[in-house]
Amino acid sequence: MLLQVRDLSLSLRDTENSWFWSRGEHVNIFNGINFDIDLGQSLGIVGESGSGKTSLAKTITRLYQPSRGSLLFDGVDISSLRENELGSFRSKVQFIFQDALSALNPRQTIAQIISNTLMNFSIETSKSAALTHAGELLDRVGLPRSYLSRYPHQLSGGQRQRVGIARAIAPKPKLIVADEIVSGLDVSTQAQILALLRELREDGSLIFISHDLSVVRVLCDHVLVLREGKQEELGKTVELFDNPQSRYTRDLLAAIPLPEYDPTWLDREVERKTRDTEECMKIQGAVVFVTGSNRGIGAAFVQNLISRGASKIYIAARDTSKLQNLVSENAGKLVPVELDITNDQQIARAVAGASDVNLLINNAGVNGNSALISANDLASARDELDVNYFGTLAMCRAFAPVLKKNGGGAIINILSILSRVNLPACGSYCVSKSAALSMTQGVRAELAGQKTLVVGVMPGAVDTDMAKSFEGPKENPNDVANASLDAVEQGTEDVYPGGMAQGVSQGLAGDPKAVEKEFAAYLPG
Amino acid sequence: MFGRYLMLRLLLAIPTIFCVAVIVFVLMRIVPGDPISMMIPPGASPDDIENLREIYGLNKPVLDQFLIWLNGIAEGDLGRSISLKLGVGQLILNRLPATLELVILSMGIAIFLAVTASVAAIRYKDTLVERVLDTFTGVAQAIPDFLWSLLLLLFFGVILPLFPITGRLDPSLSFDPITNFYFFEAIFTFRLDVVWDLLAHLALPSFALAFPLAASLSRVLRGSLSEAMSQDYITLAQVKGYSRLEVITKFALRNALIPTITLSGVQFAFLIGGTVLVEYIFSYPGLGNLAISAVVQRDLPLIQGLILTFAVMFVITNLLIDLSYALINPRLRGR
Amino acid sequence: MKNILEIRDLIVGIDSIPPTWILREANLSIGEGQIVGLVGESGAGKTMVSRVILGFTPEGSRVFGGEIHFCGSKISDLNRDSRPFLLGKEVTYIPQNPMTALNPVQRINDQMTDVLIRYLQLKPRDATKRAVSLLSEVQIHDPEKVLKLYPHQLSGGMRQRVLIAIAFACNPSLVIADEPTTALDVTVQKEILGLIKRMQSSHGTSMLFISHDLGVVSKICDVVNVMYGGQVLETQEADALFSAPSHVYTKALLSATPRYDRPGDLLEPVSDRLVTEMGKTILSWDKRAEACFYK
Repeated sequence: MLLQVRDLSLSLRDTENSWFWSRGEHVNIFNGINFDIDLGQSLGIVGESGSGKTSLAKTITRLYQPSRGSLLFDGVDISSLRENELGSFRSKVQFIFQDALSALNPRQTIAQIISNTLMNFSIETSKSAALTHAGELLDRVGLPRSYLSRYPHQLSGGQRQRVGIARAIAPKPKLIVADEIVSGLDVSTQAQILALLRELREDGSLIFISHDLSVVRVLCDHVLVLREGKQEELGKTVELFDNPQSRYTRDLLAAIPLPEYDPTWLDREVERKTRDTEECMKIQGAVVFVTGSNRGIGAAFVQNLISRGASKIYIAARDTSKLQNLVSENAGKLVPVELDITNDQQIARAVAGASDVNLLINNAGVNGNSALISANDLASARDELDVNYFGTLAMCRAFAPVLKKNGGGAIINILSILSRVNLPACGSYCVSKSAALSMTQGVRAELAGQKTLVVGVMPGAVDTDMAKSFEGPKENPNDVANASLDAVEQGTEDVYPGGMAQGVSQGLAGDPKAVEKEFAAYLPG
Repeated sequence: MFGRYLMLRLLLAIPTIFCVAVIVFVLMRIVPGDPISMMIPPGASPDDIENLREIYGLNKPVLDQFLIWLNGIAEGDLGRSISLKLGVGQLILNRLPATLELVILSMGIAIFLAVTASVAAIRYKDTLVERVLDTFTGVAQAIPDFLWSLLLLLFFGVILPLFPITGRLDPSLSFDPITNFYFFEAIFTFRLDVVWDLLAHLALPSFALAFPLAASLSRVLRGSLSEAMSQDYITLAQVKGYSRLEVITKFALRNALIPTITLSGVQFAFLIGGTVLVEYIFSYPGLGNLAISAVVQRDLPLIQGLILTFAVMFVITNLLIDLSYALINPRLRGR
Repeated sequence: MKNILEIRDLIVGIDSIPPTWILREANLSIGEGQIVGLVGESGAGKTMVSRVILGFTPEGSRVFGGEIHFCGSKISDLNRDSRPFLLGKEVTYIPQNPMTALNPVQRINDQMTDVLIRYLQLKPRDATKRAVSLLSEVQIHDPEKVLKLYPHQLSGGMRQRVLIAIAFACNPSLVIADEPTTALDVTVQKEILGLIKRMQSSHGTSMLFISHDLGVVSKICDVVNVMYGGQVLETQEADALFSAPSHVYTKALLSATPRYDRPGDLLEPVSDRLVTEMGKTILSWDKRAEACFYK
């Protein structure tokens, strides 16, 4: 892996509002960015203005120092290296700027600009060799060699951008980060530059920052959609464009005018827009039913719901005695419900007493931590399937009419990243979660008609009792709850909270077999 | 928020003035020349000199002298002038209004000339008008204010005796003011003859001060005006159907004033410096004149007091300029 | 259909020796109530067309040949004062960059009401009332509050709404929109395009819509003109142009436009051969024109 970005975050001081003695508040520019790039891959980072995409590019190239997270380049974490330790990194990563004119020294000829770069990175040691090399680089980017003696202002926008590319590929970098480099160009010039970049793609990896999804489609094999500093969606280009997961990505795509005659296009937007705002529910004022609410993610959900202003929360657990304290602290808001989701009568009773629910959170689950073959018997496998699949399904079935009556609402099913790949150490748990994922997809399709949003949450290991034995990075249950509720408010269907989940999902998008092999190493015992 | 900003600026002014005070005090002690030797009659005995030193506190250690001086300032006492044998504070307060009237009038004339010249030059871009204005600006800037004083004095005071060439007010006029702000007082008491005479006396020195100032202001103003004229909102104003002059005065000017105002703060310092020589030339009874005699007499307490006054004036002006900056630029308001 | 504006074989150039040609026998007509698109790459002369209409041509330029008619009356030169319409009232303009097009030191109210007071002789109070209704027409919530704000307190999309409201304030007969959405994010662009279209049809205004973006033009224009080298190469109804472009250049532009619904290898840059060919055509036109106007 050439570059691994984990939980990358940047916050800067707000210098606009700084005073003599106070340096201004920290402002979040982006946070929790996760992606991988292999050698030869190209990643498009897309976002609207203010999404933080340029800051992200500058952080990846270490022009900014990230405030959190790691940047593994060739296996070395460069996130906190000092400028003088970045030497070899600087020659391996090159940045191409949007404004080619101001990025090129106006007092130097093209020959000087390129050969200086070559000498700086010690690619060439003699001036004459550097000059010949500069000529070869111009050939490479499709400019006549006679341009060597010209100055930047004597070139057109497209030609300057070619010089910028020539300079960037001069030290033979492994990664090129290009920031909006075709956005100011004419369509025909843009197409030429894109063709050139496609050719050069074979030589190294490319991160291409753009506001234009169409351009990214031409150039990149993976796409990361950024929205207000958050990673909205990451996936293979083909999949993301054919079947965007996030509503935001769908909105962005729908807003791009394709050069086709379509007299209804403009009106369509208005219609959809109003539906959208009605559709996305707000947690504030919601009536929520949470299963397994006595500990772990469930307890985190309850806290988060209270702070987001949910008007009523049914907190269900097999043993409600431990919930009394919580209930008395939040008088009138919390309603304890004794519920074992494998018990049909209890479910029926719970539904009957909670007819005002518009958000169901299926959090209850069990993990016997047992393998498939080496387990003593099938008890654990049966138990997990009973709770994680049948129990959750029974809840969905029981509450579907209630949600319909209350205007659609939403269901959150807490699944696991293990729904998507088997970890042999707890093989039977993975099977049950996999079944639950498939069930979630089916329920989503069936309930689409009654406008119920069905969210599948697939976290990695979460810091709860269930994963006590797991030694490795664990997510904070609060973050999982937070991301899930965000998803409801934004209408996102699949949630991968945290670095591990993001990483695995990214891996599955790229090379599912490799992920399977990696997980296969975790054998029972 | 803006109130907080102002408070901050005021607070920051205190260390500025303190630093000026320290520098002035130290400088006055290390430059050669002994104030006492200037005031002693020939043949005074060393005892007499020692006596005098004691009276003015000059025999104490420098640090003590400084602390005494600071303490005095805090109590509103700037010490006693060695040469004039009067309180420094009183001397300055008597002269300050005359200088303020001169400075304000010069500033007004300079701003008026600068704005008119720049607007005209932009309105008649690429015509004879612009070239003529260019020449005038160049000449006005090249000639320093004291030389302008002499030229104006020669042409409009001597060859063509249109204006009085010395003093502030014709002594034959019976005018008995309560304050030293003659001009304002004359206006409020409807003494138009006095107003007229004051203006006549102010005319030559204020124009002499205003010309170079107007020239450098108009350079900056023209630059920012022609930059403003290439902005998109100007295009929009033109497309709204406004004439070129309207576009300049209604749209471009206010935007162009923002950088110009910043400069005028710096220029004000030169203006105060300029008053010293100009007042001397026209025997105008202001602070500048006082400063020259103080320097000639090595009147340490008076020089210190004057420089401190100039520093305070400078700080206050810049504060006012920051204020007007915020009034013109809405981006700074509410911050 | 009656034409609001007609440009016939217009030749405009900078009067030097040899002249720099900007428009080379350009033809364009704008029908009443139509949105007419003008697409082309930079240097095609599309901005010059708008400047010729408005009377803002570069120093030294003049009309060498051809005619401009506005509502039947002929405009023979480029002088702004000889326009047969009131600029700012009958013909208005929506600029490209909303971030810089509003005066930073004036409140929105003053920037909106000035044309109303100037051209409709409204009293300031009535002008403000009209401004409020205009702002609600461009879907700005709480227009009273917005009128009291300065431009920097509004987002780009909001500012473009204000500029559109200004353009339609005096019920103009022609609005010229010069790349009005280029500086905006796609989602905002879509809203603004919808808004322009609604304003245009509710006011019954004719419109010249200049853009480099074929996609944008395809969605809002009734008729589309494709420009290159100061000439209009192709004029067609929008549906015909995008389903069956006739000029090779239009075809080339369409296949050079990246599309998110098509894989990247389908993108075809404009071929060098086509560029040389079109360059030759322009060069021979220039030679003929020089011979015609300078011998």
